[in-house]
This record gives sequence, C-alpha cells and structure tokens, in this order.
Amino acid sequence: MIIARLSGELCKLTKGKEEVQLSASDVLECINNLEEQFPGSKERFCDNQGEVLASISIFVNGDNINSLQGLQTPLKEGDEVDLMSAFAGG
Amino acid sequence: MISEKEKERYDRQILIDEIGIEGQEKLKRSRILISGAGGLGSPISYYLAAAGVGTLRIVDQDEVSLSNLNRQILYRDKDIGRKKASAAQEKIEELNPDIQVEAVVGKITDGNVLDLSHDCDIILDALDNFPTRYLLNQAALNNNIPFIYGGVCGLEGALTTIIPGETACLRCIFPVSPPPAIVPVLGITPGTIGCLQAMEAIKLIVGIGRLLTNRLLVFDGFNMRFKELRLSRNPRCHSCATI
Repeated sequence: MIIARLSGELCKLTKGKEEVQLSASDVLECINNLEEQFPGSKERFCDNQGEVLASISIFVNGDNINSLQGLQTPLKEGDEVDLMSAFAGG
Repeated sequence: MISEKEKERYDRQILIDEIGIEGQEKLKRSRILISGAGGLGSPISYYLAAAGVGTLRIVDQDEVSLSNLNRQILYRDKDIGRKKASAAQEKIEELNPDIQVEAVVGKITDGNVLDLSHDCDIILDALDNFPTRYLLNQAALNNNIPFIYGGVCGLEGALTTIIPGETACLRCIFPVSPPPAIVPVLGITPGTIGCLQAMEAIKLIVGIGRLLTNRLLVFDGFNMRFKELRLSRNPRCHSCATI
C-alpha cells in the first residue's frame, strides 16, 4: 500500500483524514484513487489539462516530484506521498 | 562589548560553547526584521529579545482584536484596539530594556519593503498572507539577506531558511499563493513554528549549527510528528533564477 498524506486545508478533501492508504503504481494513479475515494479532490490538485496546480506541492518520500518524474513518478509498496499547499497562516 | 549586567542576563546561553561571549556580542550587534506581530511574531519577538538580539524592527499595520488573543501572546485584553507594533514594543522592552525595539506601524508594500529591510541581518516571516511574503522574498534576494519562512494552519505548520543565491527561495517552493482564506489556528502551532524560526535566526547570527536550508520542516501536531521535505532551487524560478 501507498500512504498519501494531506496537509493543512487539503485534509478537508478527505473528511479530516490526514493519511490515506491506497494502491497506486505512480503519482497520477495515486491522485486518481484519491478522487475515487473522495470525489472532487482531483480538481484541488490538478488543472483541466491534468497538470499539477502551481499552488500544490507533491513529494514522494520527501522529494518534490518536480525533481523526479512528475505525475509519472513511480510508486512502490510503502512509499509516502505528501500533498500540500502552502501554510499561509501566521 | 558585553557589560557585566549583560553577562549575567545571558549567562546560561553564554555557557553554550558554540555561543560564548563572542556569539553574544554578535547577537547584540545584529538587527532583525520581524514582519508581523501576530501568532508567529509573538514568540519570535519574545525569544529574540530574551536572547539579546540588539535591534528588533517589528512591522505590523493591524490593531489588537479579541480574536487574536488565543495565539498572539504579546497582548492582553487591555491591549484590544491598540496598534500591535506599539503594544509589542512595550511588552518586549519590559522583557529586555537593554535592546532596541523599532516599532513600525504600517503595511509592508512594494514601495517600502527595501527601506524596511536593507539594513537588517535577517528577515523573519511572521506574516499571514502570501502576497506580502513574496515581497519580502524578493527584497531578501535583492539585498542578499537571509529570509526565514514560517506558516501555519490548524495544528500544522512549516518553516525553512532561505539563503539568497544558495537555496530554494520562497517562489521555488510555493510558486503561487494559496487561495486567500481566514486560516484556523491553535495558538500552540505558531508558538512552535515561531520558536523554531527564532532558533534558526540565532544560529544564523552566531554562525553555528546546521541551518534548515533546502529543507522544509513540517510540524504535524495532530500526530505529534515532524517531517522533513527536501527542497531544491527551481532553475526557471521567476524570483531567483538569475541570482
């Protein structure tokens, strides 16, 4: 299983669950599986063209997917995917 | 020079080998911009003042309101309606009368950000919005001043230390603002993140330890966990690619 973690306001998408376990072979499939479990969540991560929104940062095992293979970054058992928007409060 | 009274006041931190008298003198000679006197600005101001940072420039345009008091520990009920920067100055001078506090009542804008920051050793982000954070990020890059980001939401928060030209800048990490919103906050969260920002500032001034550079430290109070995310410069960053 993959562990997807959502931070801050994004937790509202998963009804307050900060951590979701799911199966996925890459980051895109991870987002699609989140959408299946929590309809409407994908539009908070991706635009109409399917690209990650600039306001969202996605990390796999601590590394930003921009420095990996983007949405095609492969995932394996036990990988951790962090999906976050900036923490704005002060 | 550190006076005998100052040696006594700061004795417990002077005892830290890596700080000593020399480090204390560096703190005394330093000037730090604290951009915001709210949830993050409160612990930042208190701890930097207590540690003997020579000059704190505190900028805030707002007035104290009742809904601030769950987290903005600089203020009391009697301060409601007062300008935060002025009330903060009063509290900090009570804590440590040996340092200088410059209270600036006003908004940080494109027109004044360079004036407010150019003579500071560090810019500390204690803001509640991203548009102004981006102004400070750019001023930090233009003036080659370290910038310490902090932000919170609910029981979670994050911080990182940005060194212009060396590390990811704020725009490399967060290219665009999140949608504007009133952010829910438990006071302990900015208390935690603000203290860690102050710790980074002291390490930077004294020149000790491993800074939180190219790393975003994320605090998850729900699960009482810290997590580190690795950061890198964006070669196409609109703010720092040419620096």
